[in-house]
Amino acid sequence: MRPAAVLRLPLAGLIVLAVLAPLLGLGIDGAAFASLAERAPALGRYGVNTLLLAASAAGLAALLGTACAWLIERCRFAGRDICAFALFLPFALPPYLAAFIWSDLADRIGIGFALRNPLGAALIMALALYPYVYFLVRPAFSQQTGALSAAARTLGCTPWQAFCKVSLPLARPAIAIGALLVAMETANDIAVAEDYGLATLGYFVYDSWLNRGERAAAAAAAILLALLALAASWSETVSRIRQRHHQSQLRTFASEKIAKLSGGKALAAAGVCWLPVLLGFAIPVLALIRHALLAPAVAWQRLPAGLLGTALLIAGAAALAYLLAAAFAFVRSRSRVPGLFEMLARSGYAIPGSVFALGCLGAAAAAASILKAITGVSLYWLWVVAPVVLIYALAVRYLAVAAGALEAGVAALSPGLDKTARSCGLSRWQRLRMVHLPLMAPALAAGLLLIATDIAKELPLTLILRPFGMTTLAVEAYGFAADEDLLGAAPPALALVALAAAGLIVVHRHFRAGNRISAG
Amino acid sequence: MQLEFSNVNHYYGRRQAIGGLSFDLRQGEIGVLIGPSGAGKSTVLNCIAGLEPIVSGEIRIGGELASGTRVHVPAERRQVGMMFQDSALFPHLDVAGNICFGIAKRTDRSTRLAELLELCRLADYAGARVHELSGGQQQRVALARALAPRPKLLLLDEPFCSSDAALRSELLAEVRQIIKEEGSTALMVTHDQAEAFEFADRCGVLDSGTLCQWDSPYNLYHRPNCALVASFIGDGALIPGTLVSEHEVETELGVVSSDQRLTTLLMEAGHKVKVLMRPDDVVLANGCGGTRAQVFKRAFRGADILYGLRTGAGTELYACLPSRHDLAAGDAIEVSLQVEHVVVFPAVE
Repeated sequence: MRPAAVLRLPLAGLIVLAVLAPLLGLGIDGAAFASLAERAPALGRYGVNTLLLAASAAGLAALLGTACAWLIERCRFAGRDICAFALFLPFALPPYLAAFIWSDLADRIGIGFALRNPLGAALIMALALYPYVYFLVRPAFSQQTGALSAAARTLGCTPWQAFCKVSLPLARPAIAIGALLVAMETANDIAVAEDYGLATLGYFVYDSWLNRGERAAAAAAAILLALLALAASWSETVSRIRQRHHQSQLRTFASEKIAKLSGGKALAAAGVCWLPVLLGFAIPVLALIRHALLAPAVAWQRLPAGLLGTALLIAGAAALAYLLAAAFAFVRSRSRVPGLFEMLARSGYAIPGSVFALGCLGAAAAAASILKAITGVSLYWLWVVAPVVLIYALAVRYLAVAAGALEAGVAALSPGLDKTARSCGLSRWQRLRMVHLPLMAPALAAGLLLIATDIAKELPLTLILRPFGMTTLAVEAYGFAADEDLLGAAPPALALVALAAAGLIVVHRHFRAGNRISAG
Repeated sequence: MQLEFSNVNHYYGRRQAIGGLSFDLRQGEIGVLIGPSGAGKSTVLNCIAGLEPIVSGEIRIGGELASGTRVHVPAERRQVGMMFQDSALFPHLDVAGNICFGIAKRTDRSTRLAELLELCRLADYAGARVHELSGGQQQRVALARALAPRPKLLLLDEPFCSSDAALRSELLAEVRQIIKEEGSTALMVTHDQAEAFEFADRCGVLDSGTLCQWDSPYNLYHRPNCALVASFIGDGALIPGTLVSEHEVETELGVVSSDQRLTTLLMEAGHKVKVLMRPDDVVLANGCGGTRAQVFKRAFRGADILYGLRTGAGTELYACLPSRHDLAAGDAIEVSLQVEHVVVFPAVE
């Protein structure tokens, strides 16, 4: 047997264990299940609230994202190109920041009550998260061949009927994936729920764990939330399979007709497209800038620590995520059930951060006690002092992004390339350095930026797992904002938004050519 | 006339895509436009389907004006079916859903569906998803879908260009038979003349938006009316000659006579002309007083070999000889002419 073959099985086991550990960690505490049964009625209410919030946010985001994607892909109007990019920008503003800023603005004009309710929260979430839908649906529209709607027209459909009966159903899997991602992100939230006083499961887990110390209650709620999230993740996988079937049929040879708008129609289209940018990014960021100018000195003094923490997490977690993804790709490519591994890779992303954090803690405690039993050395102190568990948790959570980037990179290599390089006499190492890596670099770099943006914005996981004394930009901003000190929150929030926006700009340049990546 | 396409002009921006194009199709007839890519073939179909407005001219479908200078009936009201390159089936619907897509009346659906599934040999696939079908089945579904609303006219836009050669000729025959059984009038565009000859009742060569000769495939090959058609259709060479009488033309390889009159108002006896030589017009005449010619290239085609020959005077022509004569480049042979259809064009100085 070749060494690779010997390595494969243990490696596969290790990978599966590494990815599943947080989930297993959740189940270790048997008491949690008993507690789940006991609290079922109360938790059920939280569950319904969570579902309603997630569903309404997802619905609104789907509407907004699809409308904008269609206008950008099928119409031409003045400023369309800038707008096409600007529509991504709300992604740079985490929903909890948008929620704090908007509720502050609403309070100032005396309509705070109108916003601080589930519908208001859903609206804020949708405005912050619709780029998921927009990002995924745009290619679904641009890749549709013109022949499909032409066929519908010759079969008796008016242009509007052709859109409803052909273009929209074809984009539906992409819309569904985007909407599910929005729903998962909404379920992941704790800060908006806290600020708006919503009784969601995510907030309940966080609150019972950190504020009230009711571990069993937290674990019970976490299990329920994890089940809901896994169901959502499963339907997302189904949608992705369906989308693949649709795309396999769409070998483009004639592009869809593009309507050149002018006058009132152009103005209306531009208005619809700029509205989410204005509400989801421009106004909140302007408010942030204004707050930052008035911010107390202490907020500025604490900025370097936040930056350092964020940078440390990004460096550690991104490196680990790529390492895991590489091992993952190796195992998956030789596995008989590649689909299973794909779902595994996504499971981390599906599970809300607060739940994931509890699972990681359980797994870490178990690992420490096993290590102690074997070696006699307790490493538990390491878990507490250094962000080991946090970095591991972030890496597993964003594994799907790294795996997607790696897959996109591998897709850039044609099979003949390796043979050509070998026939030129290049060794395995030379091939990797001179051929493979340069070709994969753009995709890997783009994936790295996406992970970095995600980690910088991530809140619940970091909040629960960070070692004492460690802080990040997101934690700083949340800390000030939760104390109703928006002025203090502004500097770290602004730094965070600037980082994320810069990442988005670079990634967007890379993907403008219409490349696809797995969203996350 | 089921389709009248008269003097139509179409522009993309400032570029003329169709220039004063005219042709027509009778009820039940199959027409084919042959042309290289970029000749404006798809534009013609899009204009007929109503997907592109025309600048001037007239398009009448089933006698009714569909496109004119100020008239544009929208695509959905023209009752024109269309088959596309790559089939363009709706991937979110199953086979039955695709076929029934254009049938307006709910009550007609089941009978028409059953009829078409039977006709297109798809009876076992009504519930299949599009991606489960083979390439040939997909094309048959596309045909059934286009035929389902009983269109006045069926348009086919290079529907077989992505199929492999074996499947293509099988599909071609099948699709032609289905169209004939349905009694439909159809217009196909293609760049492949073999496909066109097999499919068409009438065809023409489209070149940069203008049509040269609208005729039967036989006449297109044997009686091309312009040098462009002659050189585009089939292999062959135009060799120099001189008209010696009404029915005779003299070439370097001897005098060729025709039972048709060759002279016209522009070409009288004594004029220099170009004579179309098909490869099958040139025969081997070793030792029988033929003209000496040297092989300068050869292409083995199985049963026969296509030779490029150069005579002493430097005239190049092609000969298709049985492959038992295996000649190499540089070999010299003697050939003579046996021309059934003599085609001459004025020599352009």
